[in-house]
Amino acid sequence: MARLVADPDREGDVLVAPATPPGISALAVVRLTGPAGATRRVARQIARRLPEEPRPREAALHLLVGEDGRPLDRALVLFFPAPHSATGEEVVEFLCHGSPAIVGGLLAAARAAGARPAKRGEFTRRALANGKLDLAEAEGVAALAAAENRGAARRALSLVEGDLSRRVLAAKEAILDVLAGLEAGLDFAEDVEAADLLAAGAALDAAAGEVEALAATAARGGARDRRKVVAILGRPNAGKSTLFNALVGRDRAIVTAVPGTTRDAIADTCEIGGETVTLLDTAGLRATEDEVEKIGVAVAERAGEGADLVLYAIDATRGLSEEDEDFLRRGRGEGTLLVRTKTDLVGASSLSSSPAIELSVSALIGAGLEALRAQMAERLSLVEADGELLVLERHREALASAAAFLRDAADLARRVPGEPELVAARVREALAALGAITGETATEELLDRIFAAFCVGK
Amino acid sequence: MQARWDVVVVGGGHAGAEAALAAARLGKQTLLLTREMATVGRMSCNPAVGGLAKGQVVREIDALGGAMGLVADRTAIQFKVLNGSRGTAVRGLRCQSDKALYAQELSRVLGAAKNLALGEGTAAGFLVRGGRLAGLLLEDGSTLACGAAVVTTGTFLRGLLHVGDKQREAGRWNEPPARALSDALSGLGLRLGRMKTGTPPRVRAGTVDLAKMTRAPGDERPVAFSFRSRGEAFPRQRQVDCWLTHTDEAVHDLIRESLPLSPLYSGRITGRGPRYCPSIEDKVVRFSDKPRHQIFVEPEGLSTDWLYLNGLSMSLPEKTQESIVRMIPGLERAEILRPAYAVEYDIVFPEQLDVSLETRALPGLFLAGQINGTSGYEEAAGQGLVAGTNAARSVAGEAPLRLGRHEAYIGVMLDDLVTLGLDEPYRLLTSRAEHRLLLGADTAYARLTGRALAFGLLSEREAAPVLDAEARVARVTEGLNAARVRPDRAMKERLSGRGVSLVEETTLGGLLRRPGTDLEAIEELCAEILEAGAARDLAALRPEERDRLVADLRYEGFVTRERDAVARVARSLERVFPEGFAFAGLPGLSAEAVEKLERHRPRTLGQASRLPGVTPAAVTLLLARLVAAGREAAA
Repeated sequence: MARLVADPDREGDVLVAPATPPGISALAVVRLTGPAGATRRVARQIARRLPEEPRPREAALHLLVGEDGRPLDRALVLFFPAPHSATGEEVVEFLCHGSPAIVGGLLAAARAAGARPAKRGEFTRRALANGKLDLAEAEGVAALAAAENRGAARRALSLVEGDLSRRVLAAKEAILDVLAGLEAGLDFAEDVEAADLLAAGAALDAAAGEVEALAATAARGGARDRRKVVAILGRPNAGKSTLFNALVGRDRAIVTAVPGTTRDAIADTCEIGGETVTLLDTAGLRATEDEVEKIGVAVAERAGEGADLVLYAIDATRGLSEEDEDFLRRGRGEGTLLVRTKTDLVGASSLSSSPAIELSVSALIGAGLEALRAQMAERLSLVEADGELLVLERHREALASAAAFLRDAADLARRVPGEPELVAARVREALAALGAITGETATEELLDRIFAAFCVGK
Repeated sequence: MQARWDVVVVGGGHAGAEAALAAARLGKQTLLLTREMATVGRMSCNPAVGGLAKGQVVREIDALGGAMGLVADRTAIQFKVLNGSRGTAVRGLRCQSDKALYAQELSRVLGAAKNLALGEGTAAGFLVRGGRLAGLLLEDGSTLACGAAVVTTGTFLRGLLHVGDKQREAGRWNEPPARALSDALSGLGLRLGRMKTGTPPRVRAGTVDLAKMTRAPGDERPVAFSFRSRGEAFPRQRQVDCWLTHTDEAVHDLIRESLPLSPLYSGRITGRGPRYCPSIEDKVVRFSDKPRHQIFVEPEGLSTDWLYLNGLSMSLPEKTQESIVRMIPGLERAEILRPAYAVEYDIVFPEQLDVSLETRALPGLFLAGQINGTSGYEEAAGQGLVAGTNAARSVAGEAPLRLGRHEAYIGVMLDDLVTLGLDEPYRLLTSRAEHRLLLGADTAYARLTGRALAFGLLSEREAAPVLDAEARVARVTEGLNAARVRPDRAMKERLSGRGVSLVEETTLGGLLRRPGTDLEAIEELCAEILEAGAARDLAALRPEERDRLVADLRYEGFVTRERDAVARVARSLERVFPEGFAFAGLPGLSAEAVEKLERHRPRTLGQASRLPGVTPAAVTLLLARLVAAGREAAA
């Protein structure tokens, strides 16, 4: 409980926290939240020319000064009056340059001006407390903050916007209809015919199907949140590293004309179909006596086995070799994409027309890369699906147990002699499970778990 | 009349009677003040006690030492368990009552009670000293000093009767309303609302052709409300039938044509009526696809020729009523003894009360029954018992009796009343209880006898038969769960002959947990393999206790889960706000939430969470506050 109610008796404090991850970056955001007036007073100690009544939601350039009064940075300052802010309180944001020294200086200046560093989840808790979010939405914020790629961010965003809450509410409506029928038959036995239990059973099965579908969507979302791995394999000097650098978008791997330059597997990330994908560059596959290279080849083969997709590079100037044929025979079918590289070095007419080769690229001049990315997205099943929701583990559990209660209720409804009060009891349990998603039956343990998963300043 | 009392109860209806009896039972000098002695215990509307959820309330009242169950048992002329073929949790004990005998018996019980006096008079105002109720001002200008008062005015507060376009000021048919008390209540800062209810026509038995109706008999084996009836002749009165008839399209057409004459539809009645007990005008308008509506014809007593037409409440003009009644099969020549009428009356919005039923506006002042926006004799009596108990305890400076939602339907009702806010008269339904399986009529004594003993509402001697029966059921259950049934050939054959299949080793209890296996099917087996003491106890069980035993086994899994759920939620939701907790001072609460919280002043987090406008996020914040407050208090 200590975490849940970190200093709840100090709700009136102005909180300060960086809203962006630590490290060097182009921009960093430091945010203040707190009571109206007090928050601005802290901000005006740092941005001294900030007016007493800044224009809401309008970025203005200000000189920021540290606790010693010396200039720290020139940065954009944004003012959000309560309740139209992320936390529902007055919020001031500083968009400064992304250096740890500047961010650290800003935090120190804010503390000196009376703000208190926010604890884990405290910004979100204030948003929750001010009715800006329900529990499902609050969890979406946590996921948004942790989202490492656009796809996950999109799903998290839909949670924040209440997609899940909406669909759960829709499911609840259908279940309430059935329950109402059961209850009416029990409570008004003299006026209302007893509910048709077989029909109720069928309706409950349908509702269970809906909830299971929600849970399945959840499972897909979850699978997506594991990052996919793509390994580039091929013979030495097939242009793997050039391709790797082109996909990553910078010169990460050393490229030379010397075969066997890449000895170890090099990992970096690139974005495919809106998702972050881990890309591995590997040592060229060949029989070798070189100890180090031997290990590199073994690593490459293992990487190929563990990857979700292999890009097999074939030098267009050389065509398929025996080793290539050999590798492809052992092959992985769907899991391998044959890529003809260095197409800039050969004329279109001289390209061999091996049916196995699906794509041609010149990483050097960037030709064919878009088609390659699209193919990769398709092979990795990263094509965006409609209505996909991010559902956190707790939601998955709640949906699964709600579905199980509904199936159980449906079975009870089919039993002879019928016992509508027992069916109703199970249906109520299902509703309680669904209610747990939007926080209606929130208990302390639940909140404890949720808030423990939060990160400072969102 | 003596001028100083511990507790004064205003009103002698079902709420007032239980309130006065409870306060007197707790040793407080109690006065029941009624406008007219002859009207004490009168059944204003239907000649029946109990029903779904209501029957459970009567049992709860009985378990808490109240009178309703015993009086109903002694004066009933038909017993019928509603949902009798369903599980025990949703069965509703119900009886038809002889109205005159009921009022007479209740008056006798009141007259015989120690510490209790009855007096005639009309309350008109409140005396306040030091922020607490100090006495009552009567219409005749005299005063009564008291430590606490329970006001149970029923439909009398500025009561207005409607029959067609005729209206007159009255609380019941020929009884004048209470005019002054509404202003006095408003003067205390209480918000008043207006509700409407109705009652159907009464017709003369000799003018009705029963041959055209369907007989609706009672149960062959009547089930008593009160455990105290076990010690006396039961049923005491001659048992009679009710009769069933119905409306048809021609009747509906006439009602539709006559709607402009109904004050409900002409807008003359502004109070809200109950959806669960609609007038016939409402039924015809709202359920226009139903070709008929049933009418139960219920005798109002053994020595009266009045019949009550249950299902035909309306407020059309007398002439129209006569035409409608005479179009109904069996009522073609019926003589109307009293027309149906609607009554509007003032209520005090109950969210201004604590669950103890004490007003927050004036400590020492308690309200019970229809004044709190409820309908029904049973709802009124249940509140009366709680209000009377707490008025007595308030005089003694003791903590009030509070019943939880998982303990009693009365607890569900009180919690709903003080938290939900009403927009129609409130009636209990089993579906209002989230722990319905825990709240069967059969479990009322197990649930509440302990509370009754602790609060002095029952003495140990009085409770002994209940406790004995509970212990007997527990011993038999234990015996059944311990008695092993091995799946050898002989046993398999024997049980399959009884329609019971046996695959693996189980116990007698295990067999009874299966749907469709009843005690009768394995009776002989029980007699053989049960431990001797348990077998003797089983043989001594009354039919209802046998049902209860099997139900307990069948519900076991469900009940365990509900208990777990209760315990889980209780830990956070039953946290109590400290006295004077300042909702307004909490940063982060929306203005709407603060307004609701300040208005309703919930006692617990659970009550707060059920208020409309209080979001899950607000509950989280309140919980955080309470936990912090608890830590500070502990530090």
